[in-house]
Parts: sequence; C-alpha cells; structure tokens
Amino acid sequence: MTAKILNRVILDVRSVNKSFSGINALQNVQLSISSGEVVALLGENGAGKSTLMKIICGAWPLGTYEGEVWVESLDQAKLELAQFKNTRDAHHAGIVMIHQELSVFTELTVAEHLELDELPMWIHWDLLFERVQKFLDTLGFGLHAQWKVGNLSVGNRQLVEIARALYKNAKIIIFDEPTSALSEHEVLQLYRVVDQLRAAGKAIIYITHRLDEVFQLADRMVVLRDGQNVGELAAYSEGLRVSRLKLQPQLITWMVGRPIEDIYPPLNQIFGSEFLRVQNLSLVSPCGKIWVDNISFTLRKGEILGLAGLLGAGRSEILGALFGFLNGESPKGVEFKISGEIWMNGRHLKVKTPRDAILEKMAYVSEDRKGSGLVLNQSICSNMILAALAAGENHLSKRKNYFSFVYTNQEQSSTQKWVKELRIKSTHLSQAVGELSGGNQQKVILAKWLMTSPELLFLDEPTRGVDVGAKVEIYNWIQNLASNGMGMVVASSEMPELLGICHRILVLRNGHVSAEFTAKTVSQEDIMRAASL
Amino acid sequence: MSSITLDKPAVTSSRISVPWQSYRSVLALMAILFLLSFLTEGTFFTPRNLTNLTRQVSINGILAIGMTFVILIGGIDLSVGSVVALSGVVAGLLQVNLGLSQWSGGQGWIATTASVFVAVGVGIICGMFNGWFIVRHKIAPFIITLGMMVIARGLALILAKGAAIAPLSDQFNFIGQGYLSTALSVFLIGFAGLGIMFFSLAQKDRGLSHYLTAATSAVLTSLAIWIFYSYRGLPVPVVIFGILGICGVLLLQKTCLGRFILAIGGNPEAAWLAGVPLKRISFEIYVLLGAFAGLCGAILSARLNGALPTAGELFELDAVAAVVIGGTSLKGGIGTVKGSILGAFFMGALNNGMSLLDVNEFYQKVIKGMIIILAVWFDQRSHSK
Repeated sequence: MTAKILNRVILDVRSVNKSFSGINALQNVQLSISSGEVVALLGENGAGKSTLMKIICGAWPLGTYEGEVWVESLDQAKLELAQFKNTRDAHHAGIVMIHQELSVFTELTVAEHLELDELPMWIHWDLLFERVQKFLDTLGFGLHAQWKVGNLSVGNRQLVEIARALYKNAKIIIFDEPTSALSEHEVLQLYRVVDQLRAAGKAIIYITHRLDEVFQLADRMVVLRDGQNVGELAAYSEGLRVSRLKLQPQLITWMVGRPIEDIYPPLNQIFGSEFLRVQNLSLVSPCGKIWVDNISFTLRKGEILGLAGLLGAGRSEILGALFGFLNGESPKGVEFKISGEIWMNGRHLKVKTPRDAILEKMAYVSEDRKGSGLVLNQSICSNMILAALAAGENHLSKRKNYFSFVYTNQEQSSTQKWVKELRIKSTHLSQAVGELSGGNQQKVILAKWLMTSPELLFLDEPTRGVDVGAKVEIYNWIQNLASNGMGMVVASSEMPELLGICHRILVLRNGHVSAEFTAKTVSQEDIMRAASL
Repeated sequence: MSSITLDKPAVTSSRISVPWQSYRSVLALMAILFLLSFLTEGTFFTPRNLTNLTRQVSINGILAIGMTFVILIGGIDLSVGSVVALSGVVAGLLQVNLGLSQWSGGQGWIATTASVFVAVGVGIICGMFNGWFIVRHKIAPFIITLGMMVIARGLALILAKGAAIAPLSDQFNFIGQGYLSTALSVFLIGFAGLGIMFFSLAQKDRGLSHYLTAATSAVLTSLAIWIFYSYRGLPVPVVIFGILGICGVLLLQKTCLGRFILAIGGNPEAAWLAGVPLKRISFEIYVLLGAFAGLCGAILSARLNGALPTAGELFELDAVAAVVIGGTSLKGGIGTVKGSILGAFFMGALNNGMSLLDVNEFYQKVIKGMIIILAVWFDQRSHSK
C-alpha cells in the first residue's frame, strides 16, 4: 500500500460541546476528515465516541449541542454548516452509519432494502431486481437482489447495509465496531470492502476496540478520552507505514490515561486434580446440522481451556451443551439433540437446563450481554443477586423456597462488596444496568456468577465490546479465580486473547477438534491454519 | 465521566431528592378524592359513602393484584371476568341445587367455606388451563385467555341455564355483604398501619422515602379508622382485599419470587440463563390469578345474593386499566402492586363520584375511557423524561 495524496476535506467538526444533565460528554472536540481517508476513532467505552457520531449523523439534532459541524455541500463546491434535524437530513447530506446492531428488516429482499424509502406504490418486481442487481454487480460484493435479508449471515447483512449506503451515494460512512460479530473470513472481506471504499474516495470513520484492525486499515487514528481529543497519529510518515510497535504503546496510553505494559497478566500455575471430563459430546440442530461432533476433553482445577475456531465452528455450542441452554426449554425454543457424557468430580451429570447446571456449580457468562446476560431496565443490585437467589444457596435468604424474604440490608452489603472488588463504576446500587458502559456491565455479569461461588466457569467472548482498561481488569480476575481453583472454559473469536489467558487451546473446525495446543508453544498462525484448513 | 466511583455510602442520593415518581399515583388519588368531595358538597367524603366505595373497589382491586403479576411477566389474562362468573355460578349451584344454603348455624359456615373453596378451585382450574397452554405450548396469552373468556362464559350460561341462581345462605352472603365489628376493624387497621410504619422506619439506612412512607401510612390509617369506626366497620370484601394486597406487595418487593417475576418480565432469556425456573413461575402466576378470580366470583355472588352467569363482564379490562394506571408497563418487568391497588381506588372513586353527581351513565363511560388514556399518557411522559 502506498501513501495517499489526501483529497479535499469533506467533514469538519469544530469545537463541539455536549453535556448530559451537567456532565460533559464532549468538550471542545475537533475532527476533520478528507475524501479517500480512513480515520480510526479510538477510546474507551464512555469516551464520547458514540455521542460524537450521533451528532454527526443527526441523531442529536441541531441545538442539542454546541459547536459546528461542517459538511461538504452536495455539489462538492464548498463546506456547509450542517443543520440536521434528524438522521434523514444527514442521509441526504451523504452521511451514513453502519450500526453495530444491524437494523435490517429480515423479511425484505436485498433489493427492497436498498430502495426502502423510495419504493413506489406499485412495485414492478422485475424492474426493481434488475435495477438493483445491476448496481450490486458493480460493487462485487457477491450479493443478489432477490435474497431475503433474514437468511443472510451477519457479515452479508453488513454488506447489504454498506451497499445501501453506496446506493444512496453516501460520502461519509461511519462504521461502529463492524467486526464484533463477524467471522475471520468475513472480517477479511470487510477489510477489502473498506479498501475499495477508500479507493472510491469515500471518507470513512471507523470505530473499534481492536487495535490490530486499526493498524491494518486506518490512515489516521484519533483518540478521545473523557470527551476530549487527547491525541492523533498518522499511519504514514514520509510515505511509509509506521510500524505497529511504535504506535501501539502511545495509543493505549492515550486511551487509558496510563501506560499498560502488558494487558495479559501472568498465567496461573497452580493446578488441582482433574475434575471435569466431557466424553463424546455431540450436538445436532433441529434441521439436522451437526454443530458439535463427538468431542471429548478434560479440565483440571485452576486450568483455563480456550476454544478457538471460526464463527459456526461450534465454540458457543459446546458451552451451550454443557450449560444446558440448548435443550429446547429456553424461551427462544431451539431444540437441539445432545448426546455424550459429562462427569464432574467423579459424578455423571444430567444437565437439562441452566438451572441444573447452576446447581452443579457451573456458571456461564454469555456472549450476548444485552440479549441474554442482563435485565437491562433493572438495578445493578437486582441483576447481581439473581443467579444466587435462583440457586437458593446463599445467605441472602434463609430458606430455600421462593417465598423466603430477601433482606434488603444483606442484599445491599453483599452486592456493594462486589461493586467495590470489581471496581464497577456506578452512581448507585439501584442504577439501571442498561446505563452502564460495556465493561461495567460485563463486570456485573461476572459478579452475578461469582456470587453463586461456582467451580466451573464458562466464558463466551468475555471482553467483546469492552474497553482496554476493563479488559485488563477482567483478565486479572480470570487468573485470580483460576489460582483459587476455579476451572474455566473460554470461547473467543479474538486469538490474542485466547493466547494470552489460556493454558490450553482446542481449535474447532466444523464441530470437530482439529488441533489441541499448549498456549505457550503456539502462534496465532498455527491456530488460524488449524481452524480454517 | 458520566459515572462516579462509588465510595460514599449508597444512601446519600435518596436523602437529597424527593422521589416524587413513587408518590405520583398517591397524589393523583388524593387530588381526585378532594375534587369529588368538593363537587358533591361533601356527600362523597362521608364514612358511609367511603365504606361503600371501598367495598365496590375490592373485587377490581383483588383482580388487579393478580393481573399485576401476569402483566409483569409480559402476559395478559382476558378471561378473569368470565371466570368470576363461572366460579360464582358453580358456588351458587352448590348452595342452591345441593341445598347447602339450607344448612344453618355451624353447618352453614362449613357450607360457606366449602362453596368458597370450590369457587377458588374452579378459578384455579381455569388458570391452569391458561397457564398450561401459554407455558407448555407457547401460545400467545392473548389468544388463549380470549378463548378461555368465551369458554368460561359459555360454561357459566350452560350451568346456570341462562338464569340467576338465588337465594344463597346468609352465612355465604356474609363474605360479600357483612361487616366486621367496629372494634375488630379498628384493631386490624391499627395493626396493619403500625406494622407498615414500623417496618419502614426499622430500615438500617433510612432515606426520605422511608419517612414519607411512614407518614403516608399514618395519614391513611387515621383516615381509615375514622371511616370504618364512624359507619359500620370493615366490610368483609375489604378485609380480604387488604390481606391479599399486603401479601401481594410483600411478595413482589421482598421475596425471591418477586425478584424472579421482575426478571422474567425484563428479560426472560437472561432470567432463564440465571437459573430462574421460568416455566414453573409463569404457570403458577396464571394459576394465582385464576384463584383470585374464583375468590372474586364467590364474593360477587355473595354481594348480589345470587350467582349471575352474566356477572363480571369487562372485569378483565377494569383490572388491566387499574394495573396500567398504577404505572405497570404492559411490556412487563416494570411495575408495582401498590400502584395497581391505587389504580383500582382511582377507578372506583371515579365511578362512585360520577354516580353521586348524577352524571349520565353513557357519559360516564366516555369520561372513564378518556381518563384511563390520560393517566397512562402522563405516566409514560414522566417516565421518558
């Protein structure tokens, strides 16, 4: 890749301020971006990235913030002061955001999705498909106009969103953590698309927590902390890409506010006896797809086992089979066929539901924090004690039936203890968890499970959408718990994370174990090869 | 930035701000009581009228308590009105056709107890039917209970052969029409009032809200003593309503089950993954509401001295209205039993007041509907701010 001659500036944010009930979310923030440029916007959760983006795409209308946003006029002649009253105005000005949670309508076809707000009263389907297909062919995303969006993978849905932005002639495209739900393969595809967009002269703002992406893609990195610009780095110096090693420490220091030498703490070295044995575990979906095929493994106390593999290789499904949430009793009602044996502490377990698993001293931190981890509108306190109450084995209530009282004082003091220990930032125990940042939410979930004092902890994507500072704290806790004898199984799509925190790594491919590594002796490439070949 | 590290004790914030939110419904109720007293030149605010008002409210109130739980887990039950009729009719048949109403003295009380239990049993069976389909077969509560509504109404008409079943025994009528003696009434009210005051002040870290609760309870207790002492004592339905109300409030606020109900309503998936026995609890809640409806069937027929197969029309919607006016979200997960009880009083006061004012019955309906909409609108606006 060669250095770019940067073109004209097309978006200029000038000293923007925004406050929520007296607290400054943004203070004097500047951001300018040229056509054909990819700017990575970095910062911890709560640094003000999303607030800034909301201002740029009109979700915070004119008048709710101070400062000016200048956008290139439609005839590309000059910059104009943006006066967006809503996101639609911003769309017309050529600003589109590709959301983290994809807001596509599952029952519509790709073509309808692209023409959503300008569909005629009477749709000529042939013409519509033809028109859209012609456009899609020029992009080379491999999308078909007649596909139903609901049947597409997350990666392809994202491509639909991007295609839609391009169809509307967007000039400025904002990506909000686009890769957090993508498989490795889809990530590479996305990188290609971003390069393609850059070549086409679009301006791209790329928000992410993953630094490796930043070094791969960005021309410039802008760091926000506590609502202020703290620094900016260019990826090129005198026409050459600056090496990652030079930039990374500086970026992390800016983001966190203090230098972090190594984000992975030393591994726990004290192992106990083998206490978990999984034999011939298989999992078949209702439509006959084999998600997990005859897998066996063991785990010692204090050991951390990593599950690596591409999306759909069966990482989460193994945890689901062990924790009993794929047994068809779930509110979602997916009924998988599970076979195989689980032995824990020498006993053969029959886990039918999560409840059974919890009573056997297991705990599970799900990958979908908001969907299945937390009751968002309820307090930190209620969320934290939920599992302990359900397990009925705790000091919060004296007897083990549902009518036993929850003693407010004890409830508060025991949750308060965890809030302190895990350093959860909150205003009050009765604050709704939905208002917390991702990292703090994840800590609440962790606390919820630690209150049941489990022996075996399953972690699925333990740090997805969590900022660097909170990541380090969570990693420290993981090692801390392991050294106290807790066994853990960690599923993650982030290879460095698995390499950094696990003792052993099982690599999965199509439901099989394709390789087993000791974390110290293996490189990221080895795992990739085992996962994808 | 937007978050503050928690070093100070958690109490501070509750001392600073008055939680008007939680007193809004009390204030609204006070306002309407005051307004009606003013408009009726005091007729409204007499012990006699207020005693009648509380008795009128009881049935809707009991249903609203049960309905609160159902709505909190994200469900709905449209069948309660019909179940009230069906269970009333079954109890009536027991009294009249089996001749239980002829029993006198001590035997009469046994007959009454048996009739009430059978009525509650009928309600429980209907609730089990609802719950079984909703929980086991994942059919939308709206559909199942709509079906149950029609079925139960039909069964009531079949069993009663389309006519009223009367008369019932005096002992049975006592649960709908009777009064406790004034001395016992004062004792019960005082006991409950002092109990609430004691527990709100016995908290280790009291905030302003605890003092306010104690004060409100003191005012309401004195008011209640005045009302029921000056007239004829507590009506029996009000006693039942009161006991169930206190149990309901405690259940939701203080017990594990209450936490589970709120969690299920807020996010069923998360509750299930945290080990909450989702299906069992959901089922039991429909059964509980069924039991309440059965009890109301007995009370209603006792009050009317006869079981009508057409009784209880639109009771389900009155109960839903009370729950929603009380601030419970129809999406589930947010709400209180206390609010629903106040909501029931609000609706009852409105009905009673408009009758006293001789408002045309047709207009009453229009006004009632508009007030329900307004109440919920205000509630949502203040929540979104």
